[in-house]
Amino acid sequence: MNFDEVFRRLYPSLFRYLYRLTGDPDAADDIAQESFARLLRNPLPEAEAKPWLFTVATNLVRDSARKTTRRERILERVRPTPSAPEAPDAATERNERVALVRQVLARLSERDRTLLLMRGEGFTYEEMARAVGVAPASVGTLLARALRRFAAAYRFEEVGDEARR
Amino acid sequence: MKHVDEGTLLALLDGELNDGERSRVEGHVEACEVCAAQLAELRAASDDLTAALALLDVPAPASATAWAVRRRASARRVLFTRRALVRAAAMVLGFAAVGSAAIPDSPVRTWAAAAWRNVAGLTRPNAEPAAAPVEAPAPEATPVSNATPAEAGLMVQPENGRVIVSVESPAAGLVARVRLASGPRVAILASGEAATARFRTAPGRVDVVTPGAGELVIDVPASLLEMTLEVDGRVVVAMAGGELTASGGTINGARNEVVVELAGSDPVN
Repeated sequence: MNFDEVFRRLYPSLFRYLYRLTGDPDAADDIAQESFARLLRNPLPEAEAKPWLFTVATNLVRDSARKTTRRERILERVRPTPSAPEAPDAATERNERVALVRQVLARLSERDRTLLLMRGEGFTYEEMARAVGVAPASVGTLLARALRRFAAAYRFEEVGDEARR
Repeated sequence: MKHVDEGTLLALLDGELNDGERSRVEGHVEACEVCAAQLAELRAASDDLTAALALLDVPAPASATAWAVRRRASARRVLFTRRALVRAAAMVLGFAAVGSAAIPDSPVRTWAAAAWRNVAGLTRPNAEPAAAPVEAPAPEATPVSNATPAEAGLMVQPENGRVIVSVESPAAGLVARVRLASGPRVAILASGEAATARFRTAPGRVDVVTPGAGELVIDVPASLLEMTLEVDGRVVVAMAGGELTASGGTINGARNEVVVELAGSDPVN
């Protein structure tokens, strides 16, 4: 395994996945680096590295969420998104939409959320099946249901959000 | 006509079907309004999700590198080795102490007591780390200026194209000015109370210990693969590919130079 190459190829994807999952860039970076450090200690063939890394990282997020003493749920945390300067109204609207997406994700089951986010990172159904411990043949159905649940909740929240303005 | 289940329809969208299945499902969808409508719904939901997730994204931190991960992994090995050493030593001394208890005033008892104090020293919070860099001057460090008490400095030879500058316990009012420069080595010049800092060097690394208020000017060759400036183990400035990246506490940032507050800085990782 060429570790530097694996890191270069997979770190941005793992960081994005973890940031979408946690909403905390420091935690996402820390957990991503910890996952790669574990990979360094347990080298794997490159083809197996991606599902292994994401599974380890997902478990670390779960452990971290269990340990936290704060009442807020990790996915409901809302941080201002660092980006190019925006007009105050645009920034406020963006933050509201980010918060809305996080709320909807937080309401999904952990398996739904993990599957949807892994799909977003280009996982194959076979890789997702291994990562969440289900039969490969069931991944399509599980994903379709998760997708419908997300879309229904998102559209519902969007309508409510517009009505409140 | 038997309809296609939604899992298979999504697999079609995701390119997960083999050629035979894809032809069969596509043929069915063309002829079946119910399945065509379901496929359109799934596609719309998928588009909603993609757009929603994209809203969450932020750039990955530039300070995250394979090199940083290697350091993290090796730091844990050092800690593990150190703990194992202490445990093994404690076990041996435990046996010796039991033996000496049976023989009052035995030399074994005296030796065990002295050795225990040494092992206990290994576990003190302030004990020097087992892998601590050596005190300057080291062979790879060349003082560039210590003629006046107001300034102190040294140069650090990169290791595999990389250098870490680690600042420990900086005083309030200490700032670092990191500049892109030419030349093969990283040069550090401390002025003001910062000149009272102790420097420890090792290949590819320099520790600046307890610097006072003042300024650290750090000239970094743009040709280096990587340089990180850390404060108490947290990265505050990184250089890779000839680009400087700073976070929290930035006073001034430009393409070739950044100035950051080192005490009370908000690190990137």
